[in-house]
This record gives sequence, structure tokens and C-alpha cells, in this order.
Amino acid sequence: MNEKTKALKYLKKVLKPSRYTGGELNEVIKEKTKVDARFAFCFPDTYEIGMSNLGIKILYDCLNKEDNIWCERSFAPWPDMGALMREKDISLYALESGDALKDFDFVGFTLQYELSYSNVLYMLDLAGIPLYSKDRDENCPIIIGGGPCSYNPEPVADFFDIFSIGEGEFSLVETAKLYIDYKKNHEKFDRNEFLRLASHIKGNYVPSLYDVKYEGKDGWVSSVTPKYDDVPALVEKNCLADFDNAPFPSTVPVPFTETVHDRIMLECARGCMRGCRFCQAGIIYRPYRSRGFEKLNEQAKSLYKSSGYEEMSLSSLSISDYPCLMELVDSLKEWTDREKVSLSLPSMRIDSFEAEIMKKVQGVRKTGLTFAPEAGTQRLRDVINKNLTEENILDGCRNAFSTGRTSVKLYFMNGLPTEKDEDIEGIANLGHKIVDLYYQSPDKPKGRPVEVTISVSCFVPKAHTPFQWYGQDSLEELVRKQKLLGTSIHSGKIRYNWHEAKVSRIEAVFARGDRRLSKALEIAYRNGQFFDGWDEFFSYDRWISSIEEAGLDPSFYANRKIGFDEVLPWAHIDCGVTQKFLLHEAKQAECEVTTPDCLTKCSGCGAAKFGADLCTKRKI
Amino acid sequence: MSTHRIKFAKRGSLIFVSHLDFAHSFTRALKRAELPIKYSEGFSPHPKQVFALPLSVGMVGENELCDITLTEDFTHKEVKDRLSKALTCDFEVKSVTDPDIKMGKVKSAEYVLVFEKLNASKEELEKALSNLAPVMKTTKSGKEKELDLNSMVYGYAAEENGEKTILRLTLAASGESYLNPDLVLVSLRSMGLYIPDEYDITRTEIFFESK
Repeated sequence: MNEKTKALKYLKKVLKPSRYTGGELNEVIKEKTKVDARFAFCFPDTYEIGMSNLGIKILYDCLNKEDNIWCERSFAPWPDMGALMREKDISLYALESGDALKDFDFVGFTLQYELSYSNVLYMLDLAGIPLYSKDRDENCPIIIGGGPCSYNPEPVADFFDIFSIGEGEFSLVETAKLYIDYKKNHEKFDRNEFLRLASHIKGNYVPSLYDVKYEGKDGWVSSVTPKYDDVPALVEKNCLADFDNAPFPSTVPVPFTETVHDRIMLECARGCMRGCRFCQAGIIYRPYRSRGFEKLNEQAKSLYKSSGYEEMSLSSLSISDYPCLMELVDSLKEWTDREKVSLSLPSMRIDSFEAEIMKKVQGVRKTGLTFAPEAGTQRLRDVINKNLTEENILDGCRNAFSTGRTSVKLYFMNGLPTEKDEDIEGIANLGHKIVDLYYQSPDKPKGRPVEVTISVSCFVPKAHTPFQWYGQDSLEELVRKQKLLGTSIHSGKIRYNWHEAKVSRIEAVFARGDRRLSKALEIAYRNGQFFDGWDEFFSYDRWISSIEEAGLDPSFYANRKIGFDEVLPWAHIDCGVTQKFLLHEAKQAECEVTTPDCLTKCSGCGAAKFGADLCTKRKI
Repeated sequence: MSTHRIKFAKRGSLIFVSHLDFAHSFTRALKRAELPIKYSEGFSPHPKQVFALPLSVGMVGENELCDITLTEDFTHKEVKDRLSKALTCDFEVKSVTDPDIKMGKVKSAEYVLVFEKLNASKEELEKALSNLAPVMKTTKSGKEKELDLNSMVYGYAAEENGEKTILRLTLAASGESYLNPDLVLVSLRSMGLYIPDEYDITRTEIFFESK
């Protein structure tokens, strides 16, 4: 009897049991005796969140296209199920076969946010796999990590055997094939020897093959060096230059239960041309690449046919920058209206051109208008290189109000480098101006009040960004700023909500952390910390005491301004964008000077080496 | 335009899918099957599909019913063939016919509950089922109310089968009067019988008022 069969007996007792059954339409089932490598793709959060992730679907498809590899899925069981599994002695299993994760060849985790790290340990523990890489023997699966957080893998380095840096479409398959060959050609599986070979594949980072040295009275990192000559000193990410022909699934598993993004996702572009200085995604996914609209339309049709989804979203870090947006919307609308499929365009900027597109799209369902000015004054927006002026925002709102919209959502950040109180007050002022604008608009919808939502998160300095050297504001300062904004808002039409500063502080600790934090993470997990992304399970005090118990100081990681000449804990990970460029950008920020987007002018960030069309032919 | 009554089974993984999620998946299955479902013409259009009864999470349904209206003419056979291919193997289309009686006329349903052998004998169980103790139920207004189950039990039988004990219940399932099989077990427990909470349950049949 496999683990899933054991679990089925008790599933009536847990919340949302269909999270744990698999059996969805389009899941991939193979004969396990006929494959040479089994891969469990794990998302360290709930099923509903994990199944909304596009990356999983792409990699699931890439691995399963290989006849001799079977990729399955696994998600973090909600605490009620976790407790039940422990009570009934059920090991964490993959949904497709129901087999225990510990019997797989590879267990892969996608690291989408720092707050999911504790759940990686939770899942390994439920699977009965030793948490630390050094404790695993020849019978344990290879634990492999990827996703945006792996660009600073150090805080979780001790738990992983391999990190796959960058776009894993090809390198994961290559790593699995290396494993298959290795097993065929060797009597006995020597884990260390295999990992050493795996480190030769581009984008693979094997943390156990590097020595980390610390120095100074606070003990910052002084060097990260490979133990052997054949192990790369600098691990360069994988990047698919020919994005137009990059693999994309034509069918995806369709959950029975409602997920967070319950829709078809079309990946129109990867990367962003804008270079906001706080934004990690804007740097690590460089260079910007887009996919032709005819191809996207074909992909959309095929996904619709195999899924029956009634909603489709055009996904990209900034869909407004997609060069053939109008053509794409027109070709999709030729059939989506008839089939009652609604289109959604997240991350729009709404200039006049886009207002025209929005009019077309809103046929089926009306979505709200969202802006991310991030800062309240032009000065601070220049510092962060958010090339968005107050006029842009007000024009966008004017357009939106004239098309019948009454709600506007604005995203800001507080605690940005160089921020002053007047920048905070600027957020309130902008809100007030939008409210006034609504009541002055002659063509606003009749008899309906305006609703402006101001949502403020806390700045978290991230690795590989121009702001990676800057410390986060102290907890007290972040809270003071949140209150200041609250008292600066005078309109009843403005709804103000803010992120919990304590959560952002823990995020900051790990975002710029080094390898010593693995210990803190383990202590926190042993003390009962998991599901950090969920308010009811996040405990700030437990985190702080666990970090201190590991002999570390949270403010060393979260609040310290790192010297421009220091070795960064993630310096051996090469995302394509050079440290020199990031440093230049940091200096530009201090001078309040903006940098143009990649299409307007190449600023020489370093990502041109990947050979994307934007960089080589100056076209997208 | 054409209307169809689909009789289907819902088993395996699907039994853990809630009724609303299943209804949603069913709409998607129709789309994949390229069966053009008719939408209501209201402010927020919804597909014209009507299930006889919602099925509780964890319960197998062997003969569930759903009526659909399509915008084009299809034969029952075409609907059966296409829909069979559009969902997973845990879903089986048993037949497609004309909807002869309205779904509103559903009267009762039959359930089969399979337990690991119970302490109580067939005779003891049947005696208890013939005169169930009332169950306390909290009403919507928050008041406790005594609920008499006997008028809603239309048929019962107990059976000992090797290592298993099987209960067969026919219970009211109309708009005015609906009895959840769980409540029958609550009543049996209150009468001092040992009934474990791990068991397999199947709704085997849905009955209509006679024409």
C-alpha cells in the first residue's frame, strides 16, 4: 500500500481534502518501472498557491516530455494534514503515484519567497529525508532548489545538494540525464562524485563544494571559493536567449478545487526593461525577451482546448511593454468572446493607447485599475528609477474614470533608501489628488463614489539589486512611518492598508543572509515555525529568538549598510548583471539620477552576453 | 438547442472534490468536450446545468444526475461520447437521456455505508433504525431544536458480510425534507451503539416522486 492509499482513508477529516489526492485532469501518469529517473517537484506552500505558479507547469512539462523521466508534484500539507500524517505514520508523497518522496531520485523545491524556507524543512521532515545535505546517504534523493530566491541561496545552502540557477528548462533535464547515465555506468552510486559532476552543468551550484570564510569583528563574508579546480568559481545563470522558441506546455494539470490563479497563463515576455532599483525580478530575469503574438495565440488555443478555463491572463512583469499587445488582444478576441473566456491584463500602466485596449478587454469582466508608483514624491521615484510621473498616474486615472471605473489601487513601499517624511506625506497627497480628480471629471460614472486603495509594503533590500547594500529601516522606524502615513490621509474615500513590518524584517534577514542562517532556520523549524506566509503561523518572537539562539544578530543582516567593497555572500552567483553596473546604479540613485529603459538606451548592465534580440539587434 | 439528463458516477479522487468545485469542473469538462452549454441571460451569465442533489465530500456517487441545456442540437449518444473523454477516469458517464421529470421532484436517495465489522448484530441495528432517537440540531437562529428522524427514513436494512457490516438507508432528499446520513449515525451513537467514524459511503440511487 503506498502513502496516498494510506492517506485516503483519513482524508474526510481534513480541510480541503482534494489538495491531497492528485488525479486532476492532464496530470502525467507513467509506468514507474519504465522510467529511469523520478523527479518530485515541490512547492513549499499550499496546493492552491503552488498550482497557481507558472514555473512549475513549464518545468513539469519539460521533464515529462522525456520518456525516461517522470516528474510528479507535491505541496506542503496544511497543518491539520501534517499532524494527521505524523499520527498515522504517512510519509509525504507525490500526488501522481502516491509514492513516498524519499524513494524518488530527485526532490526539487522552487523557492519563490524567503518566507517559504521553513516549509522546505517541514516538507523534508514529513518526507523522512534528512534536513542537512551532509546527513544524506546514497539512498536519499538529490535535493535540488531553484527559483528567484536561489540567486542568494546561502541561507538555505546547507539543506540543498544542488541549486539550479536561472531558467531550468534545459538544465534540469540535463542534470537528470547525467544522473541516469551515471547510474548506468557505475555499480555503486557515489553521491559526492555525482554532485561534483553535476556542478559542471551550466547553472548548477553545489554549495557543499565551496568554502566560505568570514572575517572582521561582526564576521562578514570574506570569501566563497570552490574546493576544487574543476568547480566553477562563478556560477552563471541559465538564460534562454531564444525565448520565442522556448518550451511551453500545451496542456496543464487542471485542479478540481479553486486555486489562487485559476486561469490560463500566457507567458508573453520574460524579464523587464525598466530597472527599478529595488526590484530583484527586474534584474535577475534580464534581458527582456518577448514571444510573438501568433505563437501566443496558438498556445492560448491549445491550453483552452485542454483545460476549459474561462479566464486567461497575459502574464509578464510589465505587460505594457509587450510590443504587440494590440495585435495579441485582437487575435485572442476573435475566439475568446465566442467561447466566453475573459482576458485579464495584470500590471498595466494605462496610457491612452492602453485605455483603448482596456475598452476591448472589459467586454467580459471589469477589473480594477492598479498602479505601482512605489514612492510618494518625484524625487524618491527618481531615486528608485521608477520612470512614472505624477502626470502619468493622473492621466491613467482620468482614462480609467472615463471608461466607467471607480476604483484605483496604488502600491507603495516605505523605508526606501533616502526616504524622508515628506515622501511619506507625498503618498497621501497623491491619493487626495486622485480623489479630487474623480470628482472633477465630467465623464465619471454617475452617482458612484470613488474608491482609492493605498497599499504600502516595507522595503526589503534584495540580492543582485542596486539597493542590495542598503539596510532596511529599523522596525520602530518602519512602524513610525506607517503611522505617519495613516495620520496624513484625510479622505474617507481612501482605504489604507500596510504590510506587517515584522514579517518584512524576517524577509530582509534572509534576503541578504549568508550560510550561517541555515542553523537559525533549523532552530526556528524545530521550535514550531512553518507556514510563515500565513499570519496565523508567523511568530516574530520565535524567529528572533531562533536567530539569536544560532548566535546571530538579526540587525546584522536586516539593517546593516554593507560596504561597497565587501564580498557579498552571493557574489559567486552570476545573474548576468555585473556588480559594477549595480554599483553605478546605486551611485546614480544617491544623485537622484534616473537610468533609461533598455529599449531607449542600453546602459551596459552585462546581460547582453546572453545574446537576446533586444541586446544584439536592438529589437524586441 | 437540446436538453440532456446525464447519469454519472463520481469516484476515486473526485469524491474529495466539493460540490461547488465539481460543478465548476463539470462546466470546464463541457467546454473541453466542445459541447456548447447555454448560458442564462442575466447580469452575470451562468451555465445552464442543474444537479439533482449535491454530494457530500468523501461520498462516492454511483448514479448522480445532472441536466444540461446546449445551444445546439446534439444526440444523447454524442453527448455521452464526448463527455466521457473530457474528464478523468474517476468520472463515468453511465447514460444520457431526456430529462423526463424535473429535478425539483427528487424525493429520496439511497445510501450504502460499509463499516469494519460492528459489535452490534443485524437485528440490533435494524431495531434501532426502526425507531431512531431524536437528534438535537442548532437552527439558523442559534436555538437548539429536537429533530425527529423517523419520518425521513423511508427504508433501512443491515447486513453482516464477512468482516464487514453494511447499512442500506433510503432517506428523504427533497427540498422540504432532507436527511443527511451522518445524522442517522449520530442518532445511533446516542442510543449507545458503537459506530466508528471511518467508513465508506456511497450514494447508490436518487429517486423521484412518482409521476
